[in-house]
Parts: sequence; structure tokens; C-alpha cells
Amino acid sequence: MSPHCPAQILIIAKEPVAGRVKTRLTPPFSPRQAAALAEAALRDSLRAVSATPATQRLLALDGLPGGWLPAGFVIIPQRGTSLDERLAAAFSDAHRLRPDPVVLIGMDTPQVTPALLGEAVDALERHDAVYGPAADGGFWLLGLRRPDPALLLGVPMSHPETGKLQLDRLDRAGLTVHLLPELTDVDTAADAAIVAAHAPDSHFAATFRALGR
Amino acid sequence: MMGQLYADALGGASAELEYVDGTRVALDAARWFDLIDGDEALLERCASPTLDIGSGPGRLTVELTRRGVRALGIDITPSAVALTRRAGGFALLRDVFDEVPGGGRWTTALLADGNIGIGGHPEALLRRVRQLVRPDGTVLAELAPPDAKSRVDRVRLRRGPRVGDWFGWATVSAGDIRRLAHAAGFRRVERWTAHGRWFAALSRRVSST
Ligand SMILES: C[S@@+](CC[C@H](N)C(=O)[O-])C[C@H]1O[C@@H](n2cnc3c(N)ncnc32)[C@H](O)[C@@H]1O
Repeated sequence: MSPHCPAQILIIAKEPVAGRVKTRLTPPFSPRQAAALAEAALRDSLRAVSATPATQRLLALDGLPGGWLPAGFVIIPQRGTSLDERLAAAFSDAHRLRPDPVVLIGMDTPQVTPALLGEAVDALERHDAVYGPAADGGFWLLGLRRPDPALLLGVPMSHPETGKLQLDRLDRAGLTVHLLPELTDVDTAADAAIVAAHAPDSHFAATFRALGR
Repeated sequence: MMGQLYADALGGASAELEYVDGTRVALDAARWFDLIDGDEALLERCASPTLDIGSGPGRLTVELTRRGVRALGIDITPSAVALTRRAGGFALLRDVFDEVPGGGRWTTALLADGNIGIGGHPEALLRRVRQLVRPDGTVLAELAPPDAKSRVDRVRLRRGPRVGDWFGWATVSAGDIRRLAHAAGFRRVERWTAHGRWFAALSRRVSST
């Protein structure tokens, strides 16, 4: 753990409301069950961020906060339509509130640990960017020392080539990139089983087991 | 929280509300001084005693008092409290999340204008206000229209180069109030609209008279 924590951490998330989140888990899960899994994953992600030294913790939220939100997070709304726009806006808005490097994660990797997040925060002291590849070809974490919408806008998100195109973009901008380990993000029910097995002590795994899977 | 620029705006100075993306809108403080269309739809549902939360310069507190409804305004801005008193209303300098007199005994609690946005966490605010009203009391909240998106903004006040601190402020759509009220422990939700404004009455009792 770095004593001077050079970066802030930003989670981009959707309020876990039945029918509005994790619709790719239905079926086999009902919309309520899918929302319960989404809420559990969000709680795990927020808990990991809370436990990581950072200059500021933010939540770029689509919707309203609920009982799942721990103390200490600054909430900003999401802006934009497509995911690349919303990511770019979240980076810019966080950076405008506080001009520190920004590490961003989503709510689909409940197995994320403070050690991984701490590695990302520390990496931005020596590198321009930090990148966590996801098993589906996308990314689960992106950190930028100097956020710039041009580093994200136009990269097709949720696409098998997302990761490659995003890394190319960072590369062409001449940025040095620190790579983190690959994680599986929860998209389908099969992913949910893998992630629950990988992090058995998480809220996510407990919820998954309670649903009888 | 809203600070000196808000106090100045109540005194007639101009001010803007600035969002994190840099968007600015004029703060229309004059709107809070005189009764506006739709206020009647709130006032007629207030019963003694009524707590007006974030009462500002006190147009609702003062009007209730004039009508013989016992009313107290609370606000964290000293000049707002002073304006309410000068206009003939009772008001205290108090944060709704701190100790409030008569806790658990108010018949009606008002969250008028955008005040359901106070603190940027409406579920937490509604839980708090639920503790302030009697078990059979009612919380009256003004909402954004059903086609608006519920959200939490980070905003600050600005006048020219002068800026206040950033603070959180929520917008709650009428389409989300039922879900939110239930999460905050209310069981009965009634919605209505008047003059383009949207309102809800929240209570703990399922049956009401
Ligand atoms: C949008 S203005 C509403 C004006 C008011 N309803 C009126 O009719 O004049 C919001 C008011 O809420 C007050 N306020 C903000 N946070 C508060 C808090 N935590 N507790 C009490 N009042 C608060 C502000 O000082 C401000 O006067």
C-alpha cells in the first residue's frame, strides 16, 4: 500500500433495479434474482474500493443510491448514450472534480480485491495508463494518469475486439501501459458460476448460492 | 453547504448552479419568495403541526402560519431563516439530519421544490424524515415529472469567478417514487400533479382516512 496514494478510484454502475440490470442472466434467473446478483456484485466492488487507499472515491451512477452504498463515495451522474461516451464522461467529470489520475472499474467483477486496485493506483505513478483485461475480450479496469475523452470515444465497447482496440488506442497515443491480471466479468450465468467459485467469500457468491445454483 | 453565494442570491444577487460537466443554469431564487402555481396542492394537505424541511425564505411556512396551521421551517442557511422570521413564520437554523425539535411528532413533513434532493441520497433522506413524523403522519414530497430521469448530481454555486463547495443533490422522478418510498419504509404512496408540478404523499399506514 502506497502511503501517498496518487490516484482516485471511480466505479461506474447502474442502480440494481429488477428488469434494468443484468438482463443477460434472465433466463435462467428471474429479473429480481438478476438484480439481487447485480446488487451483490456492486456491494463487493464498493467494499474493495473502500478498502483501497485513494485520494477520492466516486460512483458514476445510472439511477439512485440505495442501502447498498457505503459512506465515503462522491456520486456523479452518467452522461452520454453509448458506453464509450459514458466512460469518457465519467473520467472527465471525476478529473474535473479532482485533478488526480483516475482508476475506473465497473460492477461486474465482484472478485476484485484491494490488492489489485492498489496495484492499479500505484502503477499510475510510473505509467500513463493501467489496463485490466477481461476474459470476454473487453476490460475490467482502466486507469489514466491524464484522462482525455479522445482515448475512449469511438472504441466499440462490449465487442470481442474491445480490449485490443482500446489498447491500440492507448498505444497510438504513446502511453506506457501497466497490465493487470485477467479477470472474468459476470455477463452470463456461466460467468456467474466461475466468479462465485473464484470468490467464495463475496456477497456475490453468497447470493449465487442462496439462489440454489 | 450552499454557502454565502446562496445567501447572496436570497438577497437579490445573481447566481448560477454549475454541474460537473461545466453546464451552468441560472438560480432563480426569486421563485422561492412568493407563492407559485401548484403550491395550493401542497398547502391544502398540510395539517398541524407541519415541518417544512429546507424552508428557504419561507413562503410555505409563512402561508401555513397565516392560515392557522402550526408550521416550523428548518434550513441550514442563516439568512433564509432570518427572512422567514421577518415574514412572520417560525424557523430554526437546523440540518434535517441533526436533532430536530418534535422528532416523531410532526403530522406533516414537507419536502417542497427540489428538496427531496437534499444530501444527494433520497432514500436516506426519506428514512430520516420518516423518523420525524408521527406513525400516522404524512410526508409530502415534490418530484420531477415521470419522464425525467432520477439522478444524483454534484453541483456548486457560482457567481462570476466565485464558486462555492461542490455538494450532492438528487432529482427523483415521479416514476421512481413508489420504489424509493417502499425502500425507505413507507407503505402507502399517493401521487398527483398540479400546474405541471408532481407530488407524492408518503405514509407508513396502509389504510388512511
Ligand atoms: C431549493 S431550496 C428550496 C427553497 C424553499 N423550499 C422555499 O420555498 O423557499 C433548498 C433549501 O434547502 C436548504 N437545505 C439544504 N440542505 C439542507 C439540510 N441538510 N437541512 C435543512 N435544509 C437544507 C437550503 O439552505 C435551501 O434553502
